[in-house]
Amino acid sequence: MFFQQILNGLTNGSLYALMAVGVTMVYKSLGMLNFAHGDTMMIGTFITLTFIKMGVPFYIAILLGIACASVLGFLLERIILRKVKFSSFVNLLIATVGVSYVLRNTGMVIWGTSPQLFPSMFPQTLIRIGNFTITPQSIGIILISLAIITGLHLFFTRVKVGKCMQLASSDPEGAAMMGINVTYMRFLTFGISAALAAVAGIMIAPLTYARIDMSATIGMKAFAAAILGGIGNLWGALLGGVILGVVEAVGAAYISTAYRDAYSFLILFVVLFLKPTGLLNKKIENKL
Amino acid sequence: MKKTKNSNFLKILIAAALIMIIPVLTPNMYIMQIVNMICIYIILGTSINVLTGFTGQLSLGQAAFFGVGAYTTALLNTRAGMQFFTCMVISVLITALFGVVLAVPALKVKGSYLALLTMGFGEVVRIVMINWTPVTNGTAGILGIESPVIFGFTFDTLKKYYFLIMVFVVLGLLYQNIIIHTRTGRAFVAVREDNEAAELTGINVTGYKIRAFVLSAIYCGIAGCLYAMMIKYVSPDTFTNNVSSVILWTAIVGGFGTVAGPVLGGIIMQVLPEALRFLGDWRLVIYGVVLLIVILRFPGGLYPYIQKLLQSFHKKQAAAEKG
Repeated sequence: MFFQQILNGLTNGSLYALMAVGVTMVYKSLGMLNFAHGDTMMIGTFITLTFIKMGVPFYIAILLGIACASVLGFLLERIILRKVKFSSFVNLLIATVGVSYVLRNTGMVIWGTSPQLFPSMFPQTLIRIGNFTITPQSIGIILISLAIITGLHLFFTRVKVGKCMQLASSDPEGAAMMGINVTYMRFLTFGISAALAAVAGIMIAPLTYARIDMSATIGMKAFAAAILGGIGNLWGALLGGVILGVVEAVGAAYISTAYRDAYSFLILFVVLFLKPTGLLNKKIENKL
Repeated sequence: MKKTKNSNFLKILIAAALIMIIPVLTPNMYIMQIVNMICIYIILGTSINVLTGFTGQLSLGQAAFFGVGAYTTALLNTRAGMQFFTCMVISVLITALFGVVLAVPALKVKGSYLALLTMGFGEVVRIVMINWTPVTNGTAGILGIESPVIFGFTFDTLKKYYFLIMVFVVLGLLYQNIIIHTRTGRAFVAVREDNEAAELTGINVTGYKIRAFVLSAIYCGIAGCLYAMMIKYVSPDTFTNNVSSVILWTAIVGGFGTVAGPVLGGIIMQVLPEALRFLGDWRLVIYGVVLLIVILRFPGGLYPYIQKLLQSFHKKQAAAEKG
């Protein structure tokens, strides 16, 4: 029973981690949370679902959905955030909250509020070992998330474009002097972040149904995971996501399922109170 | 000197006349309801104006305070049969307590972290409202709140209720206007502008931040109490994150850090969705887009912009009179 809950927690946690990585990337380049991240995920998921319903082959639909989400990320950066760049921090943040509001209501108008079935990309068979059940789905989700985060880590440390992106977000002036196109790099950061959100959404949707309000709950957990682990840190995002997932699953099993969504925030309050920099960061990055 | 006093007096007189004449001019209950909601949102906008506009502490969880105030009133009225004033005093005390509870973890963080912390706080409060069924009656909400009776006079229609709300709106705005010109108000602005510098000049930053949170919570508590007694029904659906965003926008669209900002914001934020009703399902989308454009186009809010327009108009007029 206990290990079963841990496994469930790891599955959800790796999805939160995948979302948190996108949050962290944007935070690094913009200096603030992108409150429209969860909604990007929701829109990406529903676009994929629409393509599937139109009869597009499953994997092509997924690719198209991810592509659409990254286009959304590009648009968000180009149309909204670049415009408020030089005004105050509060306005920038409110602009992302505004985008979130617009996207959520657009989603409601187009796809309705009722939850919809989303096909899984993994086989539905159960693997039983004693009284311990493993679904290929949870193993697949954990492996894919780990692979993506490791891949991103390699991309940021080995590949030239990735290194340029890192530099452009941590030191824009320096990067510009080195001849890196900082604007383009930020553009790219938003695209990758949105694509990650869509991947996470496509893997979450079979577990919880595709629903409009998933943007709020999962989006907020992604922020919580990113901050918990230490923002701006890929491994921190992974750690934060996993901790949240496990705490949630164990709390839901042993305390009460009704308060499932509250546990992650209670943990966040405690961590912010005891160690505001997050678990893996040494000092707070002050970009306000 | 005397002339400015006279013109101020005239302004107050005009404002008072406008306040008195609104219920006479409104043709039906639907519009009266909107007017009352505008008044409640003016109080809510003022609450976030104190916290974010003057003190610089961003909050995306104002709906939680609003909800706590409304639920406290609803419970006291339906379960204990308490009357308006007792309900309001206890609501205010309890929301103030919640203000302290949020302020303690909020002291350590700022910016995005604070935004997320307050948003999470709002969400936790809403989850408790939904799940603590024995007390809050879950998603069904609490029905059957009575109209307030003060000295034997029952505020049972929306028009009568309007005057009751208006008293609190005027008092709230006056208090805001007074406090920003006192030592406390100046300390708030100093904390917003530069935390360290404020601390160095001997301002108790921690104390003033807590005070701002509590004051903001109190405004929300009053608004919550008034809301519960007007609508006579509270449910967790009313106190979502969307409402927190709308409260924040109320102050932002009007103009952060100005006394009149929340008034203008409250009117725009409540009238706009009703005016857009002809768009059907798309109205909330268009509403969001319009607000985004306002934020992008007028970063300081509409009120400072209008003020500037009026000033240049006056200058032109004066120049024309001279020439």
